[in-house]
Amino acid sequence: MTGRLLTLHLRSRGATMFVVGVGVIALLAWAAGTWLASRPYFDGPAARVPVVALAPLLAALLLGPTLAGADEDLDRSTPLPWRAWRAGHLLVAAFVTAMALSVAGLRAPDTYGAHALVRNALGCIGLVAGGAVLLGGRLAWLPAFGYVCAVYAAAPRQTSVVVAAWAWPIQPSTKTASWLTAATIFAAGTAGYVHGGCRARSTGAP
Amino acid sequence: MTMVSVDGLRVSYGKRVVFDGLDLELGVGVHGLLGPNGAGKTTLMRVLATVLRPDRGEVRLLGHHIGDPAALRQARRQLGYLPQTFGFYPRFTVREFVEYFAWLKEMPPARIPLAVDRAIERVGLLERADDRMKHLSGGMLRRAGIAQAIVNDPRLLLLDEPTAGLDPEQRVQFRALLRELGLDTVVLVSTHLVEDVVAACTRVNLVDGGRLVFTGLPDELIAAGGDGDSGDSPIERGYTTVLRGARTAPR
Amino acid sequence: MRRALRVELRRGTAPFAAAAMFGAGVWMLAVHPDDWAGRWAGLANYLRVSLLILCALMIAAGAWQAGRERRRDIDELLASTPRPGWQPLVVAWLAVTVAGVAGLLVAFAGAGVLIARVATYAGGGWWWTLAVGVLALAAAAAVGVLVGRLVPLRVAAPIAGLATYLGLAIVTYWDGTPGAWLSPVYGGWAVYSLVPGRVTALQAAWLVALTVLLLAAAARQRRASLLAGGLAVAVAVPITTGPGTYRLPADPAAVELVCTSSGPQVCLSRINAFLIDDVTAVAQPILGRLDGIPGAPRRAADQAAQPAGQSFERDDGTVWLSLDYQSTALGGLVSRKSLRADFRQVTRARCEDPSRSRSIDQRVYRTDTLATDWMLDEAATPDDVPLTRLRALPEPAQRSWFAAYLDAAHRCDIPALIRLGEQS
Repeated sequence: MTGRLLTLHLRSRGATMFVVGVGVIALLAWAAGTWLASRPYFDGPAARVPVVALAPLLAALLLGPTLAGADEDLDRSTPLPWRAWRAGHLLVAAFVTAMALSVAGLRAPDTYGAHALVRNALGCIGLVAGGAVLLGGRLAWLPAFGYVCAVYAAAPRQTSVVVAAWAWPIQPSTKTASWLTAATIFAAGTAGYVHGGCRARSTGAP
Repeated sequence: MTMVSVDGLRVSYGKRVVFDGLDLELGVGVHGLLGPNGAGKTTLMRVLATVLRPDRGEVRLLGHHIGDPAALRQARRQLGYLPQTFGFYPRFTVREFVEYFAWLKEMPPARIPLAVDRAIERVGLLERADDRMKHLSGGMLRRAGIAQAIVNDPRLLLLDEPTAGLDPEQRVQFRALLRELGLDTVVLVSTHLVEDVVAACTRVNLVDGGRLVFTGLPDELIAAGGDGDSGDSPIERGYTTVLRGARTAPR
Repeated sequence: MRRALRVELRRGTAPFAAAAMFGAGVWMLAVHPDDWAGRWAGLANYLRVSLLILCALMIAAGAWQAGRERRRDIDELLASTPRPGWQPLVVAWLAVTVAGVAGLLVAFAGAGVLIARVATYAGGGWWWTLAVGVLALAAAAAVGVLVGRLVPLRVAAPIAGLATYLGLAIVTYWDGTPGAWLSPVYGGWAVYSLVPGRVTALQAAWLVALTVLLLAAAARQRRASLLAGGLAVAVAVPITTGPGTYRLPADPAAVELVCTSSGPQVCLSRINAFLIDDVTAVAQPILGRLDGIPGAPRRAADQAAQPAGQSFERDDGTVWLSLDYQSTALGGLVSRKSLRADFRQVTRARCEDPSRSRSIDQRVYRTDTLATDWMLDEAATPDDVPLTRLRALPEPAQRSWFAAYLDAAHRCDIPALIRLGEQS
């Protein structure tokens, strides 16, 4: 029965599209990373910063719509242990995303490769989960999109710990502070989502 | 005088044929459109609202052939439509929403402010006119939808289940509005509430299984029913009798 | 039209677009003030560099606005109205564009106020650069409108934004090909370089044609889209077959030198002249120390005004100062230290070896550091024995030591350089 319920749950949240999307993104990330790393006028694998920053963001954006059901109020009125379901949903999705993306960066994994991809996947998913809690499923993408774009645009030239902490999406994976921030964001987003779930559908957006 | 005529209408969604060879004529007045679920009421409404292109058949609205783009635009200017599932922009106020539709209906700009106020007043929403749509209750939204439909003083008004979600008092007011509109407008009201038909309609059309099975005065529908038929009111008895008769008669 | 536009501006995506563009504009200006401060051309160029992000935002906003009809389940009602479908579409696009551009321009106007206080050069056609940037934002909003119409997904808005971002980034990576002119994003070249007027005009035409094409496609106006598409192709051909983005000529009026009238001469190009007091304060003491020493430069000048193709180290008695990223938001000097570092070109031993096969004696570097420290009048640390010893010599002896050093350094006379380092 749980198996059947699981299938229905995944279908109701559009899991197929998410999985296909993540696969496509991983493929594109691998292709783009290889292309960038092989350009003679760049500095090898370290040229993969755009891939490392943007591929996890794209994957996390796709995760956004799966975090909410068609009618959140209706879902909540059912006796299902939703916290467990939400926790499972998010953790499995994070695992799938991180694994798929890390495959794209296996060559030189520590210079803007697999490690940084995993870190950014966690951070972006945390942001999207937090966005879902605060803004609802339809706008869950907004905080992650805004934040990563802003950091990427800023491209700070300094290398202090504070910068490594706030500009985590574009740090090399050897910076501990970036991992701490990304992990904190992921933990906070997951906790918020598991505890509160998506903000119930409101008609506030245009 | 016939304002709306439908001749040999055929509509299908993929393989499922909804209408095949439907004929219908409507003149000025309030026409009720009755029928069981899935009978094709909404489909007919959508064809008349020029939203759904029929596969075959001739549709004339207010003297315009809707196949011709210029005539279609003419017809649409004199059309009011409230769909069954009614979408709205939550951040708009009622006034802005109605104003926006007045613009979409190509009303002369000078006439818009007055027409908007009048339409909102006729549905009794004037004191909520500057509230955002997202703060309105279901019945109020429905009334805002009706205001949008009547803002251009349409000569053909199509209301798909307009009374759903209205409380009894509002329904009484709404019927009065319908009667007033029916004096110089073709109003087609699709509904499941047969009392509305008795109270407000000058004529009744009953569709079932893609056919027009009855058209006539409400009294004629009432007269069709006998005391032995199922139903709690005379018109309900007439309704079930006509439907049963149509289903048993050979096609 | 005005009525509908007013409603859309107040209640559509427009207010959000304005806020987002304002925020993005402020953010972009705040992260790299050295790119634009004090220079109008720098501000306009920086807008074009920022388009990489701003276009992505505009596309997201346009897609969100255009997806509203479907999200709100109102297409059916709209389909029954007589107004041709392209009109509400254009109104929606216009609202997003006007609001987004207004939000951005408010942010940039703030920067403009800071620039107006200090700027010393207002020419160079920077307003055309800015105007084409605005056209690019309008085109981006149109891309968004088309995507919002075609793709029934909520995440279409951010994904379209990111995809555009990537596309534009790839084009800037292909810096140099004429095709890069099709992208409105500038590659961050020097503020005094002059984009040919022909290119700017063609870019404007291209963006307008593209906007019309996208809107017509979104409104399913086949004839208009064919027409606009033809026009876009017709404009794209001369752009892609013209000269590339390499080696832009400098704006002669911008790099015209403005010089100090008293003391050793310090000359800055007109566009950087607002920094002249700060630069003079750093450069004149150094030039004063070098005054009269044979082989030492007699003046310092802005590298922007250096004749094209001339090497950094030609002995014409001039030290070239790099001022491209040397302005703070308020118009001051960012770093006296890096300006002083520019004087190292005076003392550098000319021992560059193209094949890098020959390793240079470490003692040469030590002598170089000693000469540089003397020139820049650096404070000697107690354990810096050579510098303390050099300073202990009488003034004329110090100066002749330095003259000997310059002579040896320019000839790359390694034994002489080693001897000079040990002798002091």
